[in-house]
Amino acid sequence: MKKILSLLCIMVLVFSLSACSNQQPEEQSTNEVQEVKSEKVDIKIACAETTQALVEAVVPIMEAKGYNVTYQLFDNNVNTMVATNDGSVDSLFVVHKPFMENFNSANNADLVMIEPHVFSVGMGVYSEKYKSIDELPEGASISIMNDAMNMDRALRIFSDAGLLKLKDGVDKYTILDIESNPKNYKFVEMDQTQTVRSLQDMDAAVAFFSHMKNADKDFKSYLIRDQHPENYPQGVVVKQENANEQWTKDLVEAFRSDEVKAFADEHYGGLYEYIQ
Amino acid sequence: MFINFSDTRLFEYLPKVILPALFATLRMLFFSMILGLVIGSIVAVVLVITSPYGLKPNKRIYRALDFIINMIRSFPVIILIVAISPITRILVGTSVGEKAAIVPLTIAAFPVIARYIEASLLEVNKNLILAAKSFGASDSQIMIKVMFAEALPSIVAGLTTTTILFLASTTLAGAVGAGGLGAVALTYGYQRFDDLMMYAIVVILFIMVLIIQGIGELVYRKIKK
Repeated sequence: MKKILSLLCIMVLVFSLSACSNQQPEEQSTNEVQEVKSEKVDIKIACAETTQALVEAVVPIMEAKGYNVTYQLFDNNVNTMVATNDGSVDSLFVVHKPFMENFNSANNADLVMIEPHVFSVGMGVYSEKYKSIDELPEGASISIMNDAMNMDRALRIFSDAGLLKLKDGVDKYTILDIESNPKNYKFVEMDQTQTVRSLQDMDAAVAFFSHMKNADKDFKSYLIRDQHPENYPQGVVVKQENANEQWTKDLVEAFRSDEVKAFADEHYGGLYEYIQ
Repeated sequence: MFINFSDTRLFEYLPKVILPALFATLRMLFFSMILGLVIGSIVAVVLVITSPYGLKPNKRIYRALDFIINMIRSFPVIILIVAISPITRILVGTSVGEKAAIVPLTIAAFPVIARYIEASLLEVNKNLILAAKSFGASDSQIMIKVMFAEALPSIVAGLTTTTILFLASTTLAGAVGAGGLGAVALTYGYQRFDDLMMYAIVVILFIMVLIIQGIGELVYRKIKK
């Protein structure tokens, strides 16, 4: 009986001690950032079909650094952010920054994209009827994506090329915010993936490089392209609380390593433009 | 923070976006319903005549039509819009825009209308048809003067339901650049977190449903007498 009691006492003691020791590092880490943190070894990354190959290329590099990286494939970009935000996965590598910020404000989420960012995917104006933007006639029909962010980005392409004048002081441009349209282009709004399909019916279409590539079309054949792809970077996304963790830094480094860069260039044929 | 009514651009958008979208929706609905009704009636008549209990039973024609109708009805409208885009291109010259959306909407609508008309025609009292036959009425006379005349109120009720059903379907046509109220609610309301805009359009759609149902019931009562 005594033995059992003493055993219980020891167990209670051990538990309370371990509970204490669990709390201590957290307190310390807020006081002294440089304090060594508990080593995190298992990292789970959310990705989509578009970035799966890239994440696979990162796994061996992280392994060399002593991490065990696994990934989970999602068929919906928004769900990767939901999963990261609720802690089901540690990180995600799919979406671009404005999209993530939009998600944050809509869902009270605290996701951050770690700098340095990794790369961006360009957007271009394509045509199967005209060889250059100057050939595009007056009143040309142009298909444009209907979601807020990409319509804004597409309109800026035309504005940067001097083909449209947009109103001042608008956060996200819509086709109603066009101040002057000297060539009288007719913009037709449609679903993101439809613009590529509409190419044969329209004079021109605005599309992502990635959608053009998926449709087996030459994404480098654009008439004009966006001048500021760096405003739409993709990178490693984690919750705010993990932003300064060592594993996060190592993960970003792995994505930006020469090996992964070389793999991306080869596998995606230059689709992803690395940010310097 | 479920509903965000601040920074709405509803009043700015009302004349510029919502009004044209309302007319686009009405045009798409009107033309797809008229064309659907024409094709649907023909198909329904052929179905009823060739059915095993019809005036001129013909298994082959009946089975083939039956099969086609079931096949088309199994397509979700949004898939149909995208899937038949080559046919749309042949018929109207483009797969983008309002005219292009009328083609898949018509193709989706006519089987539904045909089924409603078929069911209404089959419900006509068999004794009436036998009586008409005994007076020496021809098949076409029986079809038009007996069956259609008897089934008309029921057909009108079916058409009212179909029209309301396809009001909802026109909202999908925004995916191929056809515009319309659904596209505006999604593009300028939902995606831009402008909830007032979104609910305003829902209210407009609700009023449209009330009007369609009201007209349907009015016509029904008029011809039922």
